[in-house]
Order: sequence, then structure tokens, then C-alpha cells
Amino acid sequence: MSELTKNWIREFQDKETRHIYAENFLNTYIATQLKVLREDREWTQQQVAEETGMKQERISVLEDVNYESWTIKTLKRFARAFDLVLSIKFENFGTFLKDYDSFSRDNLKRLSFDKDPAFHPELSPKAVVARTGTGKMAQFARTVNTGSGTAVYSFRGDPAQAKFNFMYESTPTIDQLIITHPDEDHLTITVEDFIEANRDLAIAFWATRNVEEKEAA
Amino acid sequence: MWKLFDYRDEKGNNLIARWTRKLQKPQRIKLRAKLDDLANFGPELPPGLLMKTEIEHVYKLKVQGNPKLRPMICFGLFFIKDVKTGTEKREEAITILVGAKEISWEFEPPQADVEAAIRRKKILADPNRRIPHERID
Repeated sequence: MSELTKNWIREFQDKETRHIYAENFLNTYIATQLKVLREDREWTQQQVAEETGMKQERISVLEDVNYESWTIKTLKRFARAFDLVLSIKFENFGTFLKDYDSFSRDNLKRLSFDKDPAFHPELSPKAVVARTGTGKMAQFARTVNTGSGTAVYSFRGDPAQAKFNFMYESTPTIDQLIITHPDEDHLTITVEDFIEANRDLAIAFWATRNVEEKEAA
Repeated sequence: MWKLFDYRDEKGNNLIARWTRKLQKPQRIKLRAKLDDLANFGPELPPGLLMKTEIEHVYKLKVQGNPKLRPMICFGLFFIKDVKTGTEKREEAITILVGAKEISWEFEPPQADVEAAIRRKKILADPNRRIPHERID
């Protein structure tokens, strides 16, 4: 548990504290995601303004973590402009800890409908499972395409060996890998970091589908 | 994760902690939340967290509310050596130099940004003029 989490567990016993934090992070999250979504599409603020029917100056104000007066109506306009679903939910405070911990540029990106593999199977990322000769590991490998840009691999065996057994091809639509182990905490890393960590490994690849077919056979 | 430091005077008093303790509770919490964001997300990702001032190397952290808090900060002042590679790189550190507010477009205390630049130079001359940030409840 991080030092920050320890502090928050103590500080959040105070209701005023936890709600100020929650509101601050909500504002930070929305403003930052609007900017990340725009930049990921290589749009200017003027282009977002045209797509949302607002003025560029207004977009600039909204792309600021200090903006506090969000309305669902405004957020819906952005959802339509970016061709995304707006999701508004009440959550418990444990979710705050998770969301805060995973807050990063990569995790804020979302695919517009026309790039969403859930609706365009032909765009599904090609996940590749690598074997190092310890076929024992690979037989437990599986891929889950959640359609939201996250791939989940599960395996059994030595977690320290995991990075030697799984690898991705260039998969720009996947943001992160979550490697799970029954006895260990989840390990979440970005695809870029994962590839970087494994770049020097000369190993053979099998398409997940092929592995699964072989295993089925 | 960025390291946070506070400025202290020649007698060793943490002037940032002293200023923070005088704030009303909601403003103290808001300030702490922004500083947590700064330390965890860095200065680049969240838009509008920091703004340049007219003084070189001095930035203001924006904390909304009544009054608006505008603590003056600067980025890492020293280089650290990477023990693995032997190379030196600028530390990922932020020092809070002056506790300030902004009222009707004026800093309180006046010329807080100028004072921040003076304090930054004092730290450059004597690294002991900064200490790890004190978290105030």
C-alpha cells in the first residue's frame, strides 16, 4: 500500500475531506480526458468547437482542471463530438483509489465508434502469445478482448517469468496489459512498457487463436 | 512520482506549513488535493494545474475557491546521479516557495512571484533551505 493511500485512509474518515477530493478528481479527470481525447484525434480546440457547437474560447475554459461547473448537457455534446458513450455512475470511494492510481494519458484514451473493435471485429487487435520453450506457461495463456482497449492475460506459474511468455505485436488500440496471477496482486503495465521490457528477447510467436486451436485439438 | 519540498527560512521555520495552517479547512483540503495531483500526475498531464508567472522559473499552482490560493512553486533545482548508468539528470521535484493568494488579480502577499524567485536563489545557494513537504491536515 502506498504512502498516499495510507494517508487517505486516515484523512478520508473526514467527510468534508473525502468529498472535496472526489470533486477535485472529477474535475481533473474530465478536463484532462477532454484534452487527451482531442489530442489523440489530432484535433485543435477550434475543431472540437465546431463539432460541439461551442466557441473555441469555451473549449479552452473546459480543458482546465479548475473548471467546476460541469453539466450533463455539456458532457453529452462532447460525447457526441468524440463519438463516445457518456457514462455517469455513482461509485463507492474504493473506486476513487483505483481510478486515481490508474490515471494516465493512455488510460484516458477511448476509441470512437468507427474504431471500436466491439462493433468492427475486423479491427480487433492481433494479440500474440509468445513461447520461450516452456510450453507449460503458454498452455495457460489466454486473451480476452474486452472491446474497451484492455487486454487481460491470465496465467499460472511463476509471475516473474510472465514477461518472458507474453508479448504483443504493435497494437495501438490496446492501452494496457493486466497480468493476473492467482497468488499475486495484479500487475498493470502499458503495452509500450511491456514491449520495451521485452524488446531484446528473440522468441517465437503464435497467434492466440492458433494456440487456442492447437490446445483444443 | 514527483517529490515535493517546502521552503524554510534561515531559522529553519517551514514557512509553507505555517501559511497552510492559517487557511480555512476547505482551502487546506483543496490545496492538499492539488499538491497530491501535482506529485502523482506531474505538471504536464492535467491541463491548467499550473500557470507561468511573469518571473522566470516561477509558476503558480491554481487552487480555486474563495480566496483563490496561488502558492508559488519551481521545478527541481538540482541534478541527481543515476547509480545504474552514472548519468546525471534533473530531479523530478517541485518546491513550494511562497504561500500566496490571488485577490482581484493581485497576489497576497504583494509580489509573491518576485519573492519566490529570491527564495529559489537562496535554495540554489543552500539546499538546506528546502525540506520535504509537510502534509497538513
